[in-house]
Amino acid sequence: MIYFNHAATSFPRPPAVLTAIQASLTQPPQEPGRSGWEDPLMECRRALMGLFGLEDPLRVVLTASATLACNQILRGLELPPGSHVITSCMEHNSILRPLAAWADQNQGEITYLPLEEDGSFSSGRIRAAVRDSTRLLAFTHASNVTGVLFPMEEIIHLAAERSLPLLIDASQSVGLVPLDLGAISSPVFVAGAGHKALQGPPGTGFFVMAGPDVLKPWIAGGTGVHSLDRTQPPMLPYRLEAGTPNTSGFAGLRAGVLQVLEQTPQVLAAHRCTLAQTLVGDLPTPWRVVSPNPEGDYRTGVVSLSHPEKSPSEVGLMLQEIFGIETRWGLHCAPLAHQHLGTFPQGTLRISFGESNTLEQVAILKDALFQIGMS
Amino acid sequence: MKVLSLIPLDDCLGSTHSVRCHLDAAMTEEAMRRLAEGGRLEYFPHFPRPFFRVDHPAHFIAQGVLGNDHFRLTYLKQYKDAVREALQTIFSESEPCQDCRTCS
Repeated sequence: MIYFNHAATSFPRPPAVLTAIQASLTQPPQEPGRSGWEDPLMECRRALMGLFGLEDPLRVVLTASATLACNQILRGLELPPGSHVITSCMEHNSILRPLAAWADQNQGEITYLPLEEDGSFSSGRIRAAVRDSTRLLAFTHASNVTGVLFPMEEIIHLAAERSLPLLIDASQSVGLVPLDLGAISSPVFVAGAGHKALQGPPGTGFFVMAGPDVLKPWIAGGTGVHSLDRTQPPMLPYRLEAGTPNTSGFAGLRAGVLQVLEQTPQVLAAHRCTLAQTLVGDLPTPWRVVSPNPEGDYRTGVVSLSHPEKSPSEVGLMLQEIFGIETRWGLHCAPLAHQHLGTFPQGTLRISFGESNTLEQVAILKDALFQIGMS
Repeated sequence: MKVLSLIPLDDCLGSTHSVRCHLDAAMTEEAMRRLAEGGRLEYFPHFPRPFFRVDHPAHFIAQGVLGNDHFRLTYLKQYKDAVREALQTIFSESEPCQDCRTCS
């Protein structure tokens, strides 16, 4: 089997990740405040800090997924009723649905900014969309449909200039495209998934906070510390982490992050970019790249394809059943992106590369696409 | 040949159902042609594994590979009863599946 679905989840996991998970489960439990004396969660936070140029591990909040991280951030901001939020049409449902739920409950307004003609995102559109009532900017760092990278340094600068909180969904980019949050003055939150490019296990996610500490807890419960407090303890990260943590999962995530840091995000991204460029540079007829990335920047390794006659669902099945190639077809939990790109309702065939893929595998994929395309 | 189960597949699309139809034996060319009776068959024997697609008048599309013990069915939600009846007719030994979430 050839696996080209790394944007969904990584495969195979590195041996170091498996070893760390097994060690966590077979050695006496170490859960801060609950059992043992060591703090493996803090080790995971420290490893994650290394990806963002942060110094305080208590600013890293561990969650079960990027979706839960986005929910905690959005709900924790307690935006006033009637507020306005600016986001984009390329967002995943992990942003779209929490925002929609918030808007429905709070008479909120949401502006969904489009991409430019060349497939890029322009921060100038944010500038034009900001109102007096705008209280949050929420953007993906990299689209999980086309792989396009948002100009996040510009967006961070703009948010700081307007003193607006910024929520960044870095699920597709973390571990590949660095974000330096070391000198941030306004509230910036970066949510990430642990099981994609960071190669940790499913059920791990996180968010990091830069700038002022403004979040209220969304979930309340046991923390293992300050048990006498009637409500959630005020200190980080306990204020925002309630319930027994996925200690073994975060042990695996730490191992994955350390491997990424050792290999460096730049090298890992360059590998994905090379594979993606090899695919799109000589794509068999009659395939089309959906919204090609400007300047061929495929650092996240995500490419969406379409065929003029065959549905993505049919092609995905053919690749799977005939050629043993795993891809992902459909809407990729990003319905607005497909409405914007003209690929709704069938979606696209998404190819997403990872560290385990090779140029030889890309050649096999291209041959399979050629055969299917001509059938 | 019997249908053992219909397993729902998540394909991210809201308008259609996709299920994997599991059989008690490998799909043969004869079974494929029986499945295609009255419908339109596209057959690709030249692929590394022979692939078929059937557009059936009972409002479903069946796609799969000969030699596998399963194939995929796609249909609009409103036709689920018609699809179920057609499957039971085509695979005459089929028994109504008891634990099929799609049909319930």
